Amino acid sequence: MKNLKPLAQIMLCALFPLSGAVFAQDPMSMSGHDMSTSGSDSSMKNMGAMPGMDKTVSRPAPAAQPAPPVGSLPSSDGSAGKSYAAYGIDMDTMHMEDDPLIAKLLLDKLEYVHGKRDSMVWDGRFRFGRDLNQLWIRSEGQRAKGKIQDAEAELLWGHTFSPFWTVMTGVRHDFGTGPSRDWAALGIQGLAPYKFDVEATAYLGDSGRTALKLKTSYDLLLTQRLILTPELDANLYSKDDRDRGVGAGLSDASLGLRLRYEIRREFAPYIGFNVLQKYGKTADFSRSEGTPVHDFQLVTGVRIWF
Amino acid sequence: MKNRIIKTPPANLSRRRFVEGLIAGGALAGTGLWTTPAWATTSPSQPAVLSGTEFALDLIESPVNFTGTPRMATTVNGQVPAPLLRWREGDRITLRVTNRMPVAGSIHWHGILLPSPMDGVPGLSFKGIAPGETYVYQFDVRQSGTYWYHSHSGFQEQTGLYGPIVIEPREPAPFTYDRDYVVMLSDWTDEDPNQVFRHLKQMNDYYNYVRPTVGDLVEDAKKDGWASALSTRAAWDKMRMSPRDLSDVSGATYTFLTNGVTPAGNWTGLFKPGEKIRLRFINGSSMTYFDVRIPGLKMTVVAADGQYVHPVSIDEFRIGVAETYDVLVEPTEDRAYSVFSQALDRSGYALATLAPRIGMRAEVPKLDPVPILGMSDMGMAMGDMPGMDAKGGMQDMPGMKMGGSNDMKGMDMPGMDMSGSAKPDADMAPAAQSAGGDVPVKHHASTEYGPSNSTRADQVSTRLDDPGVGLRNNGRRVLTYADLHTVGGALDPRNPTREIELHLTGNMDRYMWSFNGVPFSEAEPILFHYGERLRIVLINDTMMHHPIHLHGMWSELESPDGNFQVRKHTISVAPGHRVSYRVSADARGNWAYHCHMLYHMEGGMFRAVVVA
Repeated sequence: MKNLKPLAQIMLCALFPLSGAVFAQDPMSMSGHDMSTSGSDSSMKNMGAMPGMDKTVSRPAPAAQPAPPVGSLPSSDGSAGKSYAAYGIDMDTMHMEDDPLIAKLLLDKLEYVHGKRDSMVWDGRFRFGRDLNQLWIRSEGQRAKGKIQDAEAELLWGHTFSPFWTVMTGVRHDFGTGPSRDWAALGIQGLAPYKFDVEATAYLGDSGRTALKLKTSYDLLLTQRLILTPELDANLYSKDDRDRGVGAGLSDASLGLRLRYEIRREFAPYIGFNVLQKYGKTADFSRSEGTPVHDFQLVTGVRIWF
Repeated sequence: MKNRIIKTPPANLSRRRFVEGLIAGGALAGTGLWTTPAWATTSPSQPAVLSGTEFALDLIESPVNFTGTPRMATTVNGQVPAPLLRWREGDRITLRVTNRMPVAGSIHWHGILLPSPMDGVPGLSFKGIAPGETYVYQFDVRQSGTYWYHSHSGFQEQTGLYGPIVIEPREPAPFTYDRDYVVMLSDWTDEDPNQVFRHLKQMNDYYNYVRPTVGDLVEDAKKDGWASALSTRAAWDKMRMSPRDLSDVSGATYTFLTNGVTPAGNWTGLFKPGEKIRLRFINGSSMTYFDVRIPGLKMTVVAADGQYVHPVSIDEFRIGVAETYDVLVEPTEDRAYSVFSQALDRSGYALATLAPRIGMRAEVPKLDPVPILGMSDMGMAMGDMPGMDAKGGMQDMPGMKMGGSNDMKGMDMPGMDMSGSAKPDADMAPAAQSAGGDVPVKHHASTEYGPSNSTRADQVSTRLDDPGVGLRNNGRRVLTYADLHTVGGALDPRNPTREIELHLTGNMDRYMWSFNGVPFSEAEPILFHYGERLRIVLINDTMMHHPIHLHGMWSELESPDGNFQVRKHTISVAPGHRVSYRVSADARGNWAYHCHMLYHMEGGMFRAVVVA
């Protein structure tokens, strides 16, 4: 390695007159004056001046002893060990935006559903906060025959603990047909490997009821604006709740496929279908009420956010 | 800056996703005067050049119209770009900057050595310039060459507050030329930059219209078979990354300008055939890397970041945000030449013309194919890549077929010459050993393991001779840092006595940017001891290029084998790479140190360096 350095320098010096011949008309340029930078008299005084500019082009300065290789010198991240204020650095005046307050309202689904019965469905989430801590409002529900049939709204605090995951804690309120129910909520939300969006939330209600809601979806880009989204949702409950028409165990699941076209990022109409299946006691309750246990639904709607 | 009229990007974006712009757009177009600063129109008259030792600059909001939609810009003296300032090396200059805007402002003189209170960073070097106030900058000019100046307040740099500086040297240049033009490249958006930033926080790939689609998968499958196409796609999806994460803000919202003129407006530099022209390229954009070439003309690079380099003849160069390159060209034919500067992600281009007469246009090249990042750009150790053998052999690389008909444009694997052999068009045989190679990353700060940082490189390249993603093996001689050698060598011959190692980090998904996983507001200042000679080592853990700029002191880049390479004020660190450079801490005070991608800087990739 060491032997190559002088060789490289010689070659650099050899290249020099060649370029000099092409460019410099001034005979001074070929003088080969030693640059003052290389000598021992080089000092801090020269820092601002450009010695290379005083003379015209000449040989590059011979290198000092080879520099210690990267990684061999005492190393640190350079932290001063004191705050910005200690050095007169004024954070307010600097006004950097490295953790701004951001709000986003996403109506992931706002659709008209055509199945055995027709209805309107919404599914949205509102996020307000900073990079690592946010306030969330999530809501989904169904409206038919002029009134809300089955809906829920959650108020949650999110804490982002890893690059792709946020833990959520809060409350959920179920309303619509039948008595309303309230739950405490604890779950996670994020992006799983292979780019699946995942929401998994556990709930604790009164009389020790528990519930689990799972949602996962994937965005497949057919083109830059045409996006196909398969989605799987499931609800589980620990106890029957006849008044709300849910049974214990796996209560219902739906598999949807929506194709949206992003006219703008924030506005994307879509069409798709949804296969809805009820299980166990939930299916029984459904049958007795005359509502469909299995439904193949066509959906059309818009996905908007701002 | 209040900006009520928000223009939405054109709904019908095709392959050329950018706005061509008005033919006669620019500053003052909103007032019907239809002019751009005269130095930025054609040669030779330049009344909007300010020279001498006393300058009066007004920061003022001014109407502009680049795309057909009127907007307000933050300007100097009502012009975008700001007036060309001509200084002379050795002079003491005084610049009275009066803020006539309703918000605080500032001007930072990029790459200029001066006392800290003159550096123009509000909160660090001074209090900023309040509305109505005048700040008097005064300093001795200690250098010569091509530089630029811009606001360091908020996003004002994005809305037009940038301009060129040309400093006449005491001694004549070591080369002759007949014409001298500034070519200042920039990016303009009709959107309020606060809105742009908000979009990036709400949806990090909001402006990315080159994401991999099913169509791309099918094309890859046609080339390399379904098995390899699917496994490459799966590998990226598993990491939750995208090989097309090239530009955060793209031609989807940007119009790219040359000297403040849109491609439709066609800025023209005149010449007589046989003349030598010095072109002072400045990347004054906020977020755009430009790949610049002039089809039909060889360019000879004679200066980088204002400092003379030994001349090197090339076809094309990539200029990172805030960098400058002076090139000489010698058109011999009586025809027009296109100065073609395409954005790194190929979402658009800036276009100007060199011609013997006004009104001429040359053929405009097509945009190159959109680059695609490879696993080495991710800083992954080769052995980790599914389908690769441990030695990094070429045979089983997913998505790659070595030899035969595979066009390397599609797949970029700079680290692939694991044997350390010189790249095909290396000029000097001995360079093979000193060209560098892949090194393991031994240490990551503990703060890099939190939510603010998504990836950590296992292995990075120390090579300086990689043309970069999208420019490899394109049949053109592309400039690299390995080609640049500052005339006169290092200013300070001392070796460094210690190292500061910093990782460039971020969480692209949430648009968080930092050094070592710690954003500016949560970090501490970095302390240099006055008079010391230290080495800074930067390791890029992210998938994007970052042009890192230290105020007030030169960054003397080292070659992979530890020699002095080139002196710069802004050093671009490519994905999957490591650079090291030496700094002489010869200027006391508080100095900004940051990525010069404006939204990365605002998003936390910033540090305060204290020299005490």
